[in-house]
Amino acid sequence: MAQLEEITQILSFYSKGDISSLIQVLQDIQETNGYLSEESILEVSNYYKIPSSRVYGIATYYNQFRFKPKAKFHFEICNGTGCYLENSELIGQYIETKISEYAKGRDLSKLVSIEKVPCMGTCAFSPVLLLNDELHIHLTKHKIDEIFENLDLKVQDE
Amino acid sequence: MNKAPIKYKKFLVENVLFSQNHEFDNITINTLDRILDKKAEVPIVFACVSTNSIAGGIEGTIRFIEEYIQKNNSRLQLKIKGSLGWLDIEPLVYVQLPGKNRIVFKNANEENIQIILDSILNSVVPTEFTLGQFKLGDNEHWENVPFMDELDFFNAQKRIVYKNIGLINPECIDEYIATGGYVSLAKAVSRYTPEELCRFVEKSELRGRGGGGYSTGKKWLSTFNEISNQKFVICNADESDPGAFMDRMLIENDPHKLLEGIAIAAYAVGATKAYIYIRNKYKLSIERLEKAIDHAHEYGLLGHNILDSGFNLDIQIRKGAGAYVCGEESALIKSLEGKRAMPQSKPPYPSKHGLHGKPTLINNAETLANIPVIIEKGTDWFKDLGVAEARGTKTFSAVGSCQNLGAFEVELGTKLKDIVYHLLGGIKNDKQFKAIHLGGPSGGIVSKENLDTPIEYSSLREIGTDIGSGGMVILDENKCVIDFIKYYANFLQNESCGKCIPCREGSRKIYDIFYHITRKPMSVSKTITLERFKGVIELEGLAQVMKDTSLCGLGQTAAMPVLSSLRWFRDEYEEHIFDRYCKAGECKDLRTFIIDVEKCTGCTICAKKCPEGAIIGTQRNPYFIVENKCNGCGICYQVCKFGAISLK
Repeated sequence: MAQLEEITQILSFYSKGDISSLIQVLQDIQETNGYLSEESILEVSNYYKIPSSRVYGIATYYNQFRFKPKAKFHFEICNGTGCYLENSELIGQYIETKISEYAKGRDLSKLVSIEKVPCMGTCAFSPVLLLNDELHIHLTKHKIDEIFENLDLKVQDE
Repeated sequence: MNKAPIKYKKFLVENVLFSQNHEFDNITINTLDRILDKKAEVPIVFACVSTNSIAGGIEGTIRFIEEYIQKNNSRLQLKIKGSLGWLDIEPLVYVQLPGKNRIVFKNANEENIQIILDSILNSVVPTEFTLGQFKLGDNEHWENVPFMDELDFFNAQKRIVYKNIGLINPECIDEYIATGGYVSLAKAVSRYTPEELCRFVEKSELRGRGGGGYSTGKKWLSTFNEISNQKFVICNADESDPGAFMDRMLIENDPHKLLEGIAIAAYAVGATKAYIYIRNKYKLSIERLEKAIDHAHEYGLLGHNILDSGFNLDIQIRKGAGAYVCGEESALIKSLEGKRAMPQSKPPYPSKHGLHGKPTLINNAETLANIPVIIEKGTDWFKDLGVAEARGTKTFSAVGSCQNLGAFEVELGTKLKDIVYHLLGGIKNDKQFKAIHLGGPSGGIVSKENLDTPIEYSSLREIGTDIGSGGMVILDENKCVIDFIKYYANFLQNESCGKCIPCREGSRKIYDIFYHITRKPMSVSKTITLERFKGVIELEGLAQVMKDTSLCGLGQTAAMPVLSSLRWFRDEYEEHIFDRYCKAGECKDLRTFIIDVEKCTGCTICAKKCPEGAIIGTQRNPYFIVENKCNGCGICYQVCKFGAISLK
């Protein structure tokens, strides 16, 4: 419910008649909640008196919006040109292998998520990885091993 | 540190912006020098803060310096500057001792800063961290320290748009005005009529820097000539081209220059509202722009009755939600209207029917940042730069295998060779140059033979590439061109908006073809092999159809990387298609791994992990990979603890 109050508060900054602020509203909601929930999209469509399909259509069009909450450990691997040339793809693959090693068949989707993001603008330090807003630079397999050693994936077992 | 510095407000507005001929007396010049710290009374250390240097650890450096000042009770002052554009040596700090030139230190992270400070404050130059020194007034030079403008990275550049980056504090409006900023705006609103300004810009032959290369003056004039109660100016700073960051460099390190350009453009076309459409990922840029807009309002340079001229302007920032197609102006307008960003067929052009149906001027950030200097120095001066048909300078950003990474600005007409081997310092790790890609996903890739080509619209188009927005990628001999083009093909099929069929289906088809030529045949089915060859044969035709029939620039240029790579790297395609072999080993699905019998201990871990069951052997004896079964996934390579597995 707390979520709904926040959404109403965000919406109160924008005029009901001006549909051009829709993307800004969605950006604000994602900034506070971390993602766009079904309720928030319904709330927005109610506010502007437009079909929710239209809001959803606009939200899915843009790369920025996500419709699921981030996992506890959210890996954002830069997929810009600079990082791609420094084998960011292999790094992503290696992280996936690491995760499946830890998972041992369990479902870890609430705990770890991987996302490929467009260029982050730190091309001089590629390949880079953003783990819960903490930047890791010049990634190697060795560095990823170290990162995983510090994650408490095991405690979260059940 | 972040508050609007109003100490010099009255002085700057009255003596500089409102001065009649902009020729200053000695007192004024001395005050300006003091604002820019040209003469230091106490030692000053400047930290260069930008997105890139934050990643490199400048925040730790700043924390250290603050503690250092407290601990030693030192008179040392800490100030902030922007980034110089040279990224791989960051974080940078400058140190200025009283009476001495400002000296620049590279790699000044938390670990190195103590050594740097300890030695330089005792007037000893720590050579391993020294980059160079700035010439500042009549200050004493450091011995055996090169001047910054003598370094290869800087002496090949001609900085107009980037004039201030790294030299001023981007969050301080005083420093910008002290370098001559906002004087052009004052000149424009007091001495020119809007129409004169449009003609002036047309006369300068400035062309749009966003990729299209359309005459800026013509665009301004056609917007000016429309009659409407409301007009808009939109600054396109949505740099979604992957690996390009020249506009970010500008906005982050000199936001006021962009604001000044926008204000002049708005005055010229008669707009009272302007939008800056910027990528939402550019957090620091947005923060600094917001601050800059606040400060400009405070100084009366934005808002109501700007500099007593009766001209009003309100600038708002809109964050882009991440769509490459927003680089196309009609799509950008749709996005600003809160709709899906899909391009429209033109005409009507935005100058007639733009945002909310009103006449709208859309210019790229760099184009607008060129305006103040053209007004300051005149059209003749600007036309002396560059070559015919391409006047002025262009900013580029370089990533990839070159020695120096970063954003730089060169005169149009500079040869590619000079940029690669001189400015960017050649290829790192003593490797050979292979290819250079210009213009991002809608540009093209060219080989070594073309390095004599000057950077300028028509000669680049002749060899199948384009300036585009200015992203430059350099590949060395160990990189695979096919894999690189596949990356762009994948990017474009993701970013195609889906409105017109040639682009939606074509970009998908191109990616499919690349997908098939970069993997081994997984099944023996003959139709798949047939399809693969059919695709390859039709690749050129498909690319041509997309170019001819797509609705917007994205689709029309989507085939450029493919066509240019086919033209210059045909042998590499043939190698992939006929021999199913990637010399560089970059195409992951064409790789084959081998096990080094000397190093393999027979631990069986690779055999257990192999999804294809391609690794055989007996425990405690060296294992072998069956080449026909191996799908090149590389899992064995990743799990091997003894480094026994390598690429064939």
